[in-house]
Amino acid sequence: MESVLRSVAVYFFLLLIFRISGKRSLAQITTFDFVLLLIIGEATQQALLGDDFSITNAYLVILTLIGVDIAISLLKGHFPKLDKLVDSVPILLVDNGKPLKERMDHARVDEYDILSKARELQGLERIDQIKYAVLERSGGITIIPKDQA
Amino acid sequence: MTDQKQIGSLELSEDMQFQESEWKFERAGWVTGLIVLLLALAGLFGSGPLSNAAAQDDGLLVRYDRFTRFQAQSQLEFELEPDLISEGRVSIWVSRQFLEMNQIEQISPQPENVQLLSDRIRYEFQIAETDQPVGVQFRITPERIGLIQGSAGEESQNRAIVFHQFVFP
Repeated sequence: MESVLRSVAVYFFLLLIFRISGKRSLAQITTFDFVLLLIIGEATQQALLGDDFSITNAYLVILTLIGVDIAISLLKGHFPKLDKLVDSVPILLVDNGKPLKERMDHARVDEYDILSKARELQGLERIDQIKYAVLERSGGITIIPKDQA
Repeated sequence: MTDQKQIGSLELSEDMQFQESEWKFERAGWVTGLIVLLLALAGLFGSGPLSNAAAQDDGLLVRYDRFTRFQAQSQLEFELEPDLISEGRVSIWVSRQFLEMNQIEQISPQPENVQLLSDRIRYEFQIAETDQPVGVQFRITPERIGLIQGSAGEESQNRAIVFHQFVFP
């Protein structure tokens, strides 16, 4: 019983923590972000397994985590409000070459991030070549270039 | 999924009203997190000024953790005045109820004699005559979550020191 309770507790805590830390935290921009996520994994593992290193415990923990994940995704399908609560919403960051400063500040995205993505995804050179830049729910940034006139 | 809005030529499920609330919630979350961290540093979850507690009764001083965590190292320390030592021996007892909810990792110094009584366990130590207070340390690990009550005392006195611990999961 303990395994299931621990797993549920850890799942919801992680969900809450990542919602509080903002969309960009999951985006893994730098090597350090990746390392940080690894370390978080390590810290979680100890709490999930406790003193119990049996296969049964491992199975129960994994089953519970996947189970809760599936349950939530089914519920999201039925309740759009829940969908927004769990996954957040995308927002427009650049509108027709014009960066929306206030939104970028709140989302902690700077022009460098947007230009970097524009180079990577579309081979663009300047911000005025971007028609739309969207901060997706995943924390990643997508770019739509201006139509070549 | 959620309704798609039309922004220029872009179809996007944007919801700025929700986003603004989300950002407010984020800020509130950061403040709460900071408060929790500060409380933790102060010892609310164990090992710090908020959790270090002591109870005294005549010649016996008991130092314990008011707050601790499940399966984390904790200490129970006894300090005895030298006049409690008779014939090179001193006995302290700890309630069985408390000991059953904790795992004893180590007792230093090692007791010479351990006796099981109905509601307590008595530990007898051999101590050389001295005029300084002597210390006995139990290194324990809680095996139970929640509020734990314990009592302890020195054998020759007919009094008990009662203490409470809260174990976080």
